[in-house]
Amino acid sequence: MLEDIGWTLIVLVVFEILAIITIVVYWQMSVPGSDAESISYSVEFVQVYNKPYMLAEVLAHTQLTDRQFLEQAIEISAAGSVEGASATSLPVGVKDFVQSYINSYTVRNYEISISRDNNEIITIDNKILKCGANSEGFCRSKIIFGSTCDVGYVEINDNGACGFTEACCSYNPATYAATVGTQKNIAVVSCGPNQDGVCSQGRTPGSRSIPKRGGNICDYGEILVKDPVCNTANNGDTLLCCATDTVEPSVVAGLSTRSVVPLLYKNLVVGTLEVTIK
Amino acid sequence: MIEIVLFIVRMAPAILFILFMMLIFFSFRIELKEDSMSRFNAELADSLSSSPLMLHRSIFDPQKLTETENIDPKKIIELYAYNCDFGYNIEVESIGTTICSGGNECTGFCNSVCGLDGSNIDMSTVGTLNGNCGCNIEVFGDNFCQCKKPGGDWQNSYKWHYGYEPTSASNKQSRAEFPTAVGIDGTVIPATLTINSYDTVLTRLTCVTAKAYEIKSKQSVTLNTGGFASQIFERLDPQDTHVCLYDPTSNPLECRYFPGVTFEKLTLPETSKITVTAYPAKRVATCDEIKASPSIIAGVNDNVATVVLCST
Repeated sequence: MLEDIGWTLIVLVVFEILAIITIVVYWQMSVPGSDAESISYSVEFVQVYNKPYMLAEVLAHTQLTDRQFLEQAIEISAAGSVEGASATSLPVGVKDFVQSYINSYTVRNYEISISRDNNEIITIDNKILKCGANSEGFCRSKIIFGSTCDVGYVEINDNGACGFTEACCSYNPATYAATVGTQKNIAVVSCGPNQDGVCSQGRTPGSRSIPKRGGNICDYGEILVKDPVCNTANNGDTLLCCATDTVEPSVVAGLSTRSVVPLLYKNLVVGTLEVTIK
Repeated sequence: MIEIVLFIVRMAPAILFILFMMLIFFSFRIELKEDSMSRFNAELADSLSSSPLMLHRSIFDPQKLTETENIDPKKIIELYAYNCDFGYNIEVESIGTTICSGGNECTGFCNSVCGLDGSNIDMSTVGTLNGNCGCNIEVFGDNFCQCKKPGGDWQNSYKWHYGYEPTSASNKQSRAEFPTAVGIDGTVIPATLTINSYDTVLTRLTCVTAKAYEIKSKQSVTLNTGGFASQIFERLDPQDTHVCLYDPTSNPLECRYFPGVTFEKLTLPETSKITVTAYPAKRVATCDEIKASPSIIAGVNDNVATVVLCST
């Protein structure tokens, strides 16, 4: 009899522990911002992205001014500068050539760079909305109420690059943080795989002139990076992880792809040609 | 009595635990994001970019494109890259126009774009109304060359288009564009390679037939054949490189490039959903004969004389 009672108590204790664990797990899954999920297994095939390679191959055979692009690229790498390779007209020629793909919607954004020993010698891209003394900012449409610039960004002098209804916003978390409590009252919370982004309020599509709050897309000049850290940041006021739309965050987020082509001269690698396409 | 109560008290949690484990087991989800058509488009672009259609990798040869386009009068052809699961058509179109001041400047353009040479070029009325080649004079903007392929429309850019064109609804379809170029006169001009791929009743029938023929094993596929009732899948001329879905009066409704595979015709039934099984056979046989005598089915070491298609 005592043995029966003992085993029954043991079973009840074990069951209660299991029940408590189950309740805690399910409660955690229901908490906003928690990344706990029900049991599942997701298999996603890696996509094949060959556009950057195709563009690099086309460029290699393209005649720009007096010489082929590939020849000029090798000379730039070998000489270490565009001037040294007498290829100062290369950027304009490349821009004109690639612009035709932009016009036909085959390519949205691109960045083409020639490097030597991991140092970029020249970068050609179509980010025409850069502003500021050192092109460190992006032009963004002004909004009527509140701040035009997103969390982590501060407004700087556009040096005449932006339009009348636009402001130049530059990513500067330190300066922005100094204004917390006086203007915006939103803390800068870094996010993204390389901490390139900031948790943002986002904006609603098509509503660029009203305050940014509760939107589901990032501001112009930014890209959306998935990071659950924003689910709880600023008490859930900044749910989106937005990063400046530069190459690195865009590649990490899977929005852009990059091809790296070695530049060879007499069997020696003198540099690399990197083509990134969005 | 108390022993029964204690037993029930012990069993109840055990049963609940088993139910809970079953709940976890049945709520387990496997999500498979294959995205096979997008992958197919990218792989096809990759295959084509190193095919005999190219002067250099990713740079098309206009002459080869024109030759390929002209292989079949209806331009239904899938050469150099093939995937039996999906039919596809491609379009290569240069970006921009060729600026001109007179018709004589367009002869090279008309030759490259429309395959016109001294034997068939017609530059009468500067090629705008009659004829097939000329310089289009614009009131505003630059004049540009244009030409007309035999039986085609006027075009002002290098453009080639060929491949499978379904006439019926597709189970799945996909479209992708890639940056390429066309090699003209020693230089390259930017172009777009557009790939449209389709998964249809015809592609599934051809694929299951090809697999049975090549692999020498029984293959099955499920088809939604609503709207296909009484259509016949066959190759009317044994020498033909194409197969079609025909209506009962032998009028072709939809065709696909499918050379080198012998099979027996299949008439699609009235039912909306069928399973088609393709048997590699050593000789011509009916479905009843195949079922009654499985020895007719070809093995790995046998020669496949034909493929017998049976629907259930």
